[in-house]
Amino acid sequence: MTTFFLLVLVFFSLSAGSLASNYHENLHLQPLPPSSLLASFNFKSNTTRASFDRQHFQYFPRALGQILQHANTQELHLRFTTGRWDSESWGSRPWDGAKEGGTGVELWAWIDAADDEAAFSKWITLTQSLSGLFCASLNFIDSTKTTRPVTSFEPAGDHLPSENLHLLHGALPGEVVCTENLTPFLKLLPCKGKAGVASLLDGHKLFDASWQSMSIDVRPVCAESECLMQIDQTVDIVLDIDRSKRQRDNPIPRPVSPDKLVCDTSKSYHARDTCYPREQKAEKGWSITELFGRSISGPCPLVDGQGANEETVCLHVPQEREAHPIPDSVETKVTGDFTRCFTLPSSTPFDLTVPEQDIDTKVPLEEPVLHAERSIVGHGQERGGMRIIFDNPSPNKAVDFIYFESLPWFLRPYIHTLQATITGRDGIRRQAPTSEIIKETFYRPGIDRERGTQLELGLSVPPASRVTLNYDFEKAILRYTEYPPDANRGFNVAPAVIKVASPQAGRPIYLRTTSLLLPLPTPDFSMPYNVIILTSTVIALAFGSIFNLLVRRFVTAEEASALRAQTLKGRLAGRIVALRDRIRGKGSKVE
Amino acid sequence: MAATTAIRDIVSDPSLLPVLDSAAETRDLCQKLLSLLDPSITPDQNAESPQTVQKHLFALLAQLRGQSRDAIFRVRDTKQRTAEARQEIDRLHLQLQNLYYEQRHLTGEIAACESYDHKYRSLPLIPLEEFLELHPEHRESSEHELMEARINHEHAEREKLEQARQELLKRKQALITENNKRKDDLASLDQDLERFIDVRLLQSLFRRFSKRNTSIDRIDGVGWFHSTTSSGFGTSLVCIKYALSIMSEKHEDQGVSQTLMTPKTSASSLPPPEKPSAIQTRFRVVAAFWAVILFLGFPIWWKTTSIYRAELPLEEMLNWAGGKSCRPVFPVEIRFDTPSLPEVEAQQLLRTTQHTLDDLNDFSAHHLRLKLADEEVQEGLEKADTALTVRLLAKDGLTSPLSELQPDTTMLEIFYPPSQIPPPSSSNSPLSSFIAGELQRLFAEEKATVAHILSNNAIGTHASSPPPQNSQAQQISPQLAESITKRLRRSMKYAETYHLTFSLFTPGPAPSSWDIESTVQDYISPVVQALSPISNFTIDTQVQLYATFSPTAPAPEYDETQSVWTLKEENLSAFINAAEWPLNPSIGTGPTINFILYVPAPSQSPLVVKESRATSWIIPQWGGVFILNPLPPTTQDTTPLSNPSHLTRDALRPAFLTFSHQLLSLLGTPSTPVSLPFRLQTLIRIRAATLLLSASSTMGSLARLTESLPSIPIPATVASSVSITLSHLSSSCESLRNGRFQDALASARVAETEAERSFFEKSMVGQVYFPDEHKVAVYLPLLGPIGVPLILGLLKEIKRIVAGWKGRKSAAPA
Repeated sequence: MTTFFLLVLVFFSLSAGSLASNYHENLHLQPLPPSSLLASFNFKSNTTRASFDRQHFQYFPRALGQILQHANTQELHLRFTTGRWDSESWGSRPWDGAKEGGTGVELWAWIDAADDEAAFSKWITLTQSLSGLFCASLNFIDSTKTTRPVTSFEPAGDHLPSENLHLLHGALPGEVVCTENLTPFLKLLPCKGKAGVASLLDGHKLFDASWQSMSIDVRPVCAESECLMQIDQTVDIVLDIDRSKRQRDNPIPRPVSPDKLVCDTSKSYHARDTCYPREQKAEKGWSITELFGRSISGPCPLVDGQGANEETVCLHVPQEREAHPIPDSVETKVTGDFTRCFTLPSSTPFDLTVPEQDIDTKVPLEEPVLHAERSIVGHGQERGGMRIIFDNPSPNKAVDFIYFESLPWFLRPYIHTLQATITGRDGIRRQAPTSEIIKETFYRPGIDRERGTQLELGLSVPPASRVTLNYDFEKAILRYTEYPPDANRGFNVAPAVIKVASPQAGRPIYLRTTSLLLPLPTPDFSMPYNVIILTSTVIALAFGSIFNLLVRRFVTAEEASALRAQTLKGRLAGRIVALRDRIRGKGSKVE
Repeated sequence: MAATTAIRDIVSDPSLLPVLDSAAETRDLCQKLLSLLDPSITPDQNAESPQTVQKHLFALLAQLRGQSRDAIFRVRDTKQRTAEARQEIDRLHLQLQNLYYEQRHLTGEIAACESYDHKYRSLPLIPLEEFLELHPEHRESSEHELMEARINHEHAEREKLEQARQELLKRKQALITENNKRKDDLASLDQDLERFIDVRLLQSLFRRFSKRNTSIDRIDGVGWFHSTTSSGFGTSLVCIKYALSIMSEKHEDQGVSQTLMTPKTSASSLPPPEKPSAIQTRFRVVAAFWAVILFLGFPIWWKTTSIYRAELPLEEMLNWAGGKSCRPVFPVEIRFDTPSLPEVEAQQLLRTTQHTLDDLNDFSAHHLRLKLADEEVQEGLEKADTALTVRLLAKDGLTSPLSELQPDTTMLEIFYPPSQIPPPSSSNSPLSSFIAGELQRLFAEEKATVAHILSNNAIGTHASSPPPQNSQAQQISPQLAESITKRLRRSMKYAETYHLTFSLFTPGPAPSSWDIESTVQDYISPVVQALSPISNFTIDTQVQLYATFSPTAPAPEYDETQSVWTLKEENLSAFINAAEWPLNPSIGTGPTINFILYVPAPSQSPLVVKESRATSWIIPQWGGVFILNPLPPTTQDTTPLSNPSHLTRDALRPAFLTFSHQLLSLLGTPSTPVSLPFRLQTLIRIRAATLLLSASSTMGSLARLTESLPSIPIPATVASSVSITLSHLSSSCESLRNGRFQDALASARVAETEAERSFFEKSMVGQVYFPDEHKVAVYLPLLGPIGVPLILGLLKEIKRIVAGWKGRKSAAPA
């Protein structure tokens, strides 16, 4: 898959050479085992640097452009991701992971500023404005969630050497990506999702996917003296074919009726009420209308160079696989490759049908260069541990990569406990000195309530082995007001970013682990009031008795009653007693 | 056979015997048949054939079956009878059981009756012998009667005793009241006695002293005197003690008498009076507690909960808001350029024109001042801005003067026939009155606007101004007044920076590009340049395709008669699809003015407003809209209708000319006269006035807010902002008075910014969320139990002190 996307990249870099305001979009479809479909939308518009600076926006969205200018941002990368890329069955990631983020929202940008403080204030401006634009809680990226990675990211654009760029990175792993983020995303497109491949993007289907990632990259592209501002918007989704084909008006999954079950009748225990599912040999059939609930309503007329070199919808299947587009569309096969492309006819809506077919050849899935897993281990409310597992599937090549993680301040790692274990394919574990694995370390310890811990490790995993890194951490106790409303849910820890230097591609490959949920000791939130009331009562009791001891006069009980008799109240009581006695006396006389 | 006999032993019932017989017979037959059938035995010839044996056997079997049935019937019958007999027995047994129960119950009842313990047995009656002695007539009576009599007697006796008890009680009550009265008497006697003792003591002391004094006269020895005085005191003390002991004895006597009368009250005796030292200690304790509260707790509480309120010059602020500090005046300076006239004549013309102008003008705040162009500027004073230059040019062949305002400068050219130069002596001339009339006409709208602004503001209510205001208002024609109101209402609020956004909207894919840069350069930049003394402007543009109307907005209708699509005027407010069109305001301070160029879809073109056939309108305080209908395609063109994909400068020209006009009117520029620089001068004056008034009223609002909300904090920054505002306001007012309107606007801008900043200070808002009631509710468990004893203790002490003070006071006159 890497070569496939590389091809696309190369194509784009060629087309960007023309240096004028233009717009491109395309859609790549690739079935993934066992029954999924990767749909990768890409929209790219360019505008000249001059008209960008003078705020004449044609294809570049004005709202985003003004934000970037206001925040002095030279390059911006924004990611909205949900779900987990299942690299065990789906192979390596699309775009080599360059266009995806960790779960939730991830943002990094190069800001032109004189010094760190100025850069940070511009960064805050940027996050606040983007938060409004994308209806996301990006404004919660404060100093504790902001890091300045040293080696994990490299600028993708061509920047002037005179600029004093600062890279800032922030992630919101708890952010739920949904339709309200897609709508502004679509508004940024010149064709607004009303024409072209973007007309397929619908919140219901997009966020029903097994994995989805939306990305926005803005970067300057320069050739010789002229510069372009390029905005590259990508939506990658992995659709479950069965689930997507389910009717819109009947979305509740129901059990398949028994006569529709595909059972292996050769099994001895096969009966009317038992079924051993038969393995599906045939590739699933699907069509764009079935999967997305709508068809592509014509091409976006802004796309440059229609016809000859622009195939908007591409399918990545073996040559033998049947695919039926609507008759008006022109199909081109790239020979020797698995790619097949179609043009969008301007008059009729486009649909592509791929029937169910028994087929032996499969598109070879590319093995990812590295598998990574991260989890929190340990028990109790006070301490815990982090375990990161790197698995190098290659039998003969070692993998060198940068491991970057930013930890919230309330998770205090003990880096001296960092230990590495190497497990070979034979299953023998071996404690390795960390220097054997870790080539370089960049560590920036966190400060409570000011910044999080930033840890960047240059690692090398030997071939055909698995490296486990372990370190312990301590959980901080938060202040009463620092707890969020759902404190018992746990606190999100942003995913780690892994940058694998890939010598053949030139561009690095990115992987991200899943985000983690860290349970912290959580108090009973009515506690302060209970404490106030309890201590108040105790103090009042103590004070009252001491004060009374000091102030009251002590007399015997008889004297007290005599004293009482002297007072007005006592005399009144005496009268009442007398009156009662008289009434009693009368009553008894009557008897 | 043995088996058969065995069975016969068991079955002895005679009715069953025939069954046994026939059974035995049958068995014999069966065996016989079996032997016949056995092939091993050679068949006997004379023996019966198996068939006959079988027949016989069947007959026997049938017989046996019949017997068996009979037997079963008999058994059934017997069972029936047995069951009936059993039931009968059960019934009888049950009856017997019932009888047993009844018997037992009755025995129990009898026993209970016999052993019943009646009340009369336990009555404490007098013994039988005594009763009999008292009532010998009962000796003969039966035991029952005797008992009745005894009980009756007892009852009578008891009633008698009860009566006696009641009488005793009454007596006791009387005694108690008497006792109380006696007690009161004794108490008063006590007081009398005390007073008596005091007086007696003093008298005796006095007497002794006087005696001693006489002895001092006689015997001259200090030591002795001392001892005798002390002994004298001692004896007087003894005397007091004696008196007291007598008193106490008397008291005891009273007490004894009381105890004799009412034994109940004997236990209670008053505690000894408190020692003065105890009272002193208690007073000190209470005082110490309250001292801690008042001098330590209260200041700490005050210090920690008080909010910082910077001092604001409230009076001055309210004065500004009320218009007492400054009455804005607009002395507009007009220069006369008279190249063809000698100076004397020019002066004369100037004077007469000024006179005429002053006669015409009745609005004191706005007046015109005429000056000669080459007049020397006075030293030390800054030069006032020149609003207009009047150039007088002699021109032959004219019967009456002519005026011409140059459209791109602030220059009024007046051509006059040379004959009309006024002679130096005359006080009036047609030329001067013509010039005055022209000037009056030029400044009419400005004057009306200024009057409107002033009358609409707080300053208009100032006591001194109404009469001229009214006359001025009368002078403005209703149409003019209405147009001014309209313009003021739709113009944007003043801001330092305006963002101009030009957007191309179209419902389809085309046009997707426009020659915007050069168009803006040509049509908008000059206007912006001219407006730059008033505000700064930023310009941005965007192209938005696929911008459809909102689904709720009414769609355009097709007008058959003119073959145009029309929008109703009342639906124009729904024209902008605010939900979907990306018209978000620009980032940064300052409002955004939107200009929308809408190119309708070919299927809906041309699109106009129904009532006026207009294609552009202003949305008040927001921006302007222009509908650009592309030229209809030529008739030869057979291709389906489509908009051009690119808009050229020429196509954009009408739209951007309209936009520049809309921009001017959105900024509040007056519509007359033609000269743009002149109108901008007017705009400067109007803006200065508006800003001055708005900053003043903001100051007033801040002052009122400060007064009405005592719980909001006022940080020092607000105070400094207020002082900056006030100083700039006064400098602005001063500049206005001197006719330097540019400076006035600059100062008013600063004043307005600072006033807004102070009014919208962030930290002044946050305090309302945690009111004092909540704190009290949380701390009530502490304050309540501590407060109550403290306050009660204090009250008691105060009561004691007041009582003591009163006692001393009442004692003093006695």
